[in-house]
Amino acid sequence: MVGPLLELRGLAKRYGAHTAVHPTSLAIEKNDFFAILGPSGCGKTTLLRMIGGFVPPSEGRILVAGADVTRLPPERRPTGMVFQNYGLFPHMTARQNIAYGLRLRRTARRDLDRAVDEMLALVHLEAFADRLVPQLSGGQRQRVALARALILKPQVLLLDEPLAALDLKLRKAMHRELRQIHQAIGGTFILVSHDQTEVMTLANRVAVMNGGKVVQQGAPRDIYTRPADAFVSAFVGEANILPANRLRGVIELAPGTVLADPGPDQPVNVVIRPEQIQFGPGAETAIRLQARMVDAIFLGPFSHLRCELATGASLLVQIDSNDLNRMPALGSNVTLGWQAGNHLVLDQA
Amino acid sequence: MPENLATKLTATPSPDGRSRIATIVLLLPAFLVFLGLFVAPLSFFFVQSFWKASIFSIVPGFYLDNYIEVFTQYSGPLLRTLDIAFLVATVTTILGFLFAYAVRFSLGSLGNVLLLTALTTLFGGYLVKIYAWLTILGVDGILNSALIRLGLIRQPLQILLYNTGAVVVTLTHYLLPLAILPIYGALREVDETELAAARDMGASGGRAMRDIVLPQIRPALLASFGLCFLLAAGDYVTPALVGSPGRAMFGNFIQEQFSLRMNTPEGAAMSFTLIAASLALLCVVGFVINRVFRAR
Ligand SMILES: Nc1ncnc2c1ncn2[C@@H]1O[C@H](COP(=O)(O)OP(=O)(O)O)[C@@H](O)[C@H]1O
Ligand SMILES: [Mg+2]
Repeated sequence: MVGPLLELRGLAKRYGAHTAVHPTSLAIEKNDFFAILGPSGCGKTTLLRMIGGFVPPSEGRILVAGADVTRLPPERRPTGMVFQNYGLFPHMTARQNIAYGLRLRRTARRDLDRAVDEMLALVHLEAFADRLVPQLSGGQRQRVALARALILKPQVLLLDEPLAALDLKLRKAMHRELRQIHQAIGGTFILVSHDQTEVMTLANRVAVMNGGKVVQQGAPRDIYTRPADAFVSAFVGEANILPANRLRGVIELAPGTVLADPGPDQPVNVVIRPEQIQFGPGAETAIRLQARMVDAIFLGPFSHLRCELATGASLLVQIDSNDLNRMPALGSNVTLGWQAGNHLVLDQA
Repeated sequence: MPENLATKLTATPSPDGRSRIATIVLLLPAFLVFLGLFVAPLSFFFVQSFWKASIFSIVPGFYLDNYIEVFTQYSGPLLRTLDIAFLVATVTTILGFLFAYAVRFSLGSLGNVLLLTALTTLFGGYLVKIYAWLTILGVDGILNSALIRLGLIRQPLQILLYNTGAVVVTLTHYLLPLAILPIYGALREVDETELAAARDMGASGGRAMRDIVLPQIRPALLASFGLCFLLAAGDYVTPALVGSPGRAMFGNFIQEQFSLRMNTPEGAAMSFTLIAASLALLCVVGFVINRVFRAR
């Protein structure tokens, strides 16, 4: 049948007067690596737990391959979950943890052993198979949790911030591995994360959540280049947000700097990414601003300069770190600019 | 090299050495109390259990007569006592587990209220609970009047009180909070996510309890069982007040030796027999718990 593999229809969760997830509708296609991105407390875990069957929704429906699973308990749903804090069984070895689901299904010994060995190989844990969970490192535990869910070949794999507890280096290695695993075995993954680089690296589709609502969804690149509102622009990547007013199709950013932008008269946010701002008096750009350089922040391959406009607003400008030495002294007046198509104008709500 | 020597002498002791001394100093009072109030009297009575009581005096020596008498005269009450204590401990541990499990995983904040309520009954004291059961189960007690009121019986039932059943009920009620505590403590260490994960992989609630929860709390199950078993096996007040006069428990006979008969050696021998039998039984129970609830 054609249609999305997983469909949420107006799914919502309220705790008393507090709404953790507002009515949410999403369609997730087969073999998607779908990410739900949002700040801590925005309702990501609640949404994922409703899909997994651990939190009863206040309203709405969940359909997997067209079948309504809203009222099914977790053990009868075709979903598998990797929990935020893993939930490994500490009294069992890595191998026993991974085998548990198949043992419940009364898989024959030979098939079970083969499947577990395959999983151990997939997550590179062959050498640690017989260690108890407390004897495993954080990264190894993470892999056990992943293997334990994957071995059951769930139609939808739910990952709740699976890498949040790992250090940066390990997290990056796991990003590569997760990509490879998804490419190797296929399947539909839903990843919940507050880390936009993680989402950009892994997902082919993203839903951005804020305050219990999905505020935008689409391909990661579209969300980055065309954020729906100021929140998304700032949460997905770095963004400079300059509040201004539109009057008769013209926005005045600073005395003498105007943008033509047709639309109703109202307050707007002008969004410009740091990497799109050019720097220096010679910049041949359509839009130009006078500013004072107040700080330079070294960030590795590139650096950020913080500049203050006469209005008091501050702008981050990204430069190549090789150019850092050629920058004027802190406190000097500089000219900033960008090409006409590079900013976004978002109406203030 | 006098300089070196001086630095050595004035050097602060290594943190290791200092903490070892601190540990000894901190443990000393507890150790002395333990030695004086527990080891010494027990050793004294253990030695005395091999002495002999004659008419007006106690004769030191090494006689096995006391132990022989335990087995010939008191094996019936001993077995009965172990039997009752085993029943009480089993029932109490199961109830305690179910209670603690519900408090930990199902009842939310209501659970804390129930837990607190269960624990406050400990403040009431032990005799209060026994008299409570006397008023519930007595001939003109609450249960009988309720049954008569409901028209279920005409004459009050005589069989509610003064039998082994009443002893089991009373002891179970008294010991339940003590069984709940260790189990609840152990359950707090079990992460709810583990249960959610087991369910996610296809386990029913009961299966998750058996595979995930019980194996992790085996020591606490044994602790609860052991605590209840030892307190029940050593009790002599409950059987005296609500039990059948003809079916006294071992503790009643021990008490009789120490008080009425003034035969401390025999009382000591009986006590050590009970201790040894209890420990042997607990070893078996521990082994069984370990096997039955092992990780599979
Ligand atoms: N069991 C619960 N009872 C009451 N409020 C809850 C419960 N679970 C979550 N919440 C609230 O719902 C909101 C969303 O939580 P959560 O889904 O865990 O967010 P996230 O995973 O995005 O950090 C939070 O404000 C949280 O306090
Ligand atoms: Mg969360």
